[in-house]
Amino acid sequence: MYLPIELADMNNPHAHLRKAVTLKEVMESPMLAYPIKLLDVCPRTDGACAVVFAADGVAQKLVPRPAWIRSCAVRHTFTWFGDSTDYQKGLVSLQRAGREAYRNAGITEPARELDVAELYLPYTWAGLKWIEDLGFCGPGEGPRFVADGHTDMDGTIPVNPSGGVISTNCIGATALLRVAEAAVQIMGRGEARQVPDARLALATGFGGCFWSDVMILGAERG
Amino acid sequence: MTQIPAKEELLAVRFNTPMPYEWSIGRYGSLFFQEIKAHQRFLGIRCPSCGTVYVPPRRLCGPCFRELYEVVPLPNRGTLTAFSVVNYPFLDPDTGNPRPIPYTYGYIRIDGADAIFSHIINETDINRIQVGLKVRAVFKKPREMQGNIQDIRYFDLLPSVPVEEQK
Repeated sequence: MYLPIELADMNNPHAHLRKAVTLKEVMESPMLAYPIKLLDVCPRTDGACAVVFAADGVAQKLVPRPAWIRSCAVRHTFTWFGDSTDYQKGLVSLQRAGREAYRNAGITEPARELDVAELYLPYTWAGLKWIEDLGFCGPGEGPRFVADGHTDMDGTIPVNPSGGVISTNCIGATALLRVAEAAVQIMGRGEARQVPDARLALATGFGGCFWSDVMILGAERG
Repeated sequence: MTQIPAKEELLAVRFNTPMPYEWSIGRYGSLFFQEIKAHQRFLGIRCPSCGTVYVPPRRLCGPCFRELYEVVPLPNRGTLTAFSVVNYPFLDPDTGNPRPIPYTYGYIRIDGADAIFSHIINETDINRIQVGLKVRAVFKKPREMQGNIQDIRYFDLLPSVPVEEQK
């Protein structure tokens, strides 16, 4: 299920880990803390990211196709994540931040309306569960959604053409990297990892106490 | 000198800097360790709003923002909910030296409590450890206790009851 996400990073020259892995290799990787295995989680990467934000009027002079910020939202829940009372509810901060960002960008069907998503998914199971929290599919439908190819490069909503957090985690810059990669898609600079005609992109960030940041970028100035 | 020095010739700088500090663990933390020293027993605390039992006791319930008063005695046993056999020699903050490896770190749901308690598990063979096994706390001798988390030496895995005997 994570194969499409892993393979994508072969297209990104800036990715840290650039090796196609098989499902078998993931399942046989060393156990970190049962049931979490080495290849279920992201690496620690040395890296950095820089993004230039420019005002309307200036942005158009800098680049032919700026990536316009359509909306952004942040949600925090508890200081200690042990207080997240109901893990069965999913990543509540992402559900709420996502809803606000979609509302402000006028999006009602994210999987259909978004062209590409750069999501902060630090673990394999995050990729299966948090796309539900973002409303790409219904609760419990994540694995089927991925298995059916909806998150592939040629799918309904390509997820992490950059290879995502599982291939590169320069923690501290990892979330900004999602914004940068989403902008790269809108600006048409994705080269081998470009999603054709990407006009609306989603970028998310995630923090250690289960907080979420969401930003939607678009080709239209709005 | 054009040769790489042999190990014996390497320069090294050693210094020891004392860093005394005093850290109050507060009334709720003190209660927990005083009970361990006096009775080798765990105490939890229950939220009157949501019923969650926290161990060690804390002053506030995070989700409810209620101040907590109802102290709950708990058994020294629990269930293993997660574990990791650690093979990297992290520094022990109490000694400043690398911890001997391997060692096993586990999350334990103490019987009667809802919060997860973390401590050392007395088993390093990964094939003998499973989530769901019962565990029991092993304490230091009371006269050796210092009022900190190491007053609990570790948790022993309890042998699991074979299915035939459970019937």
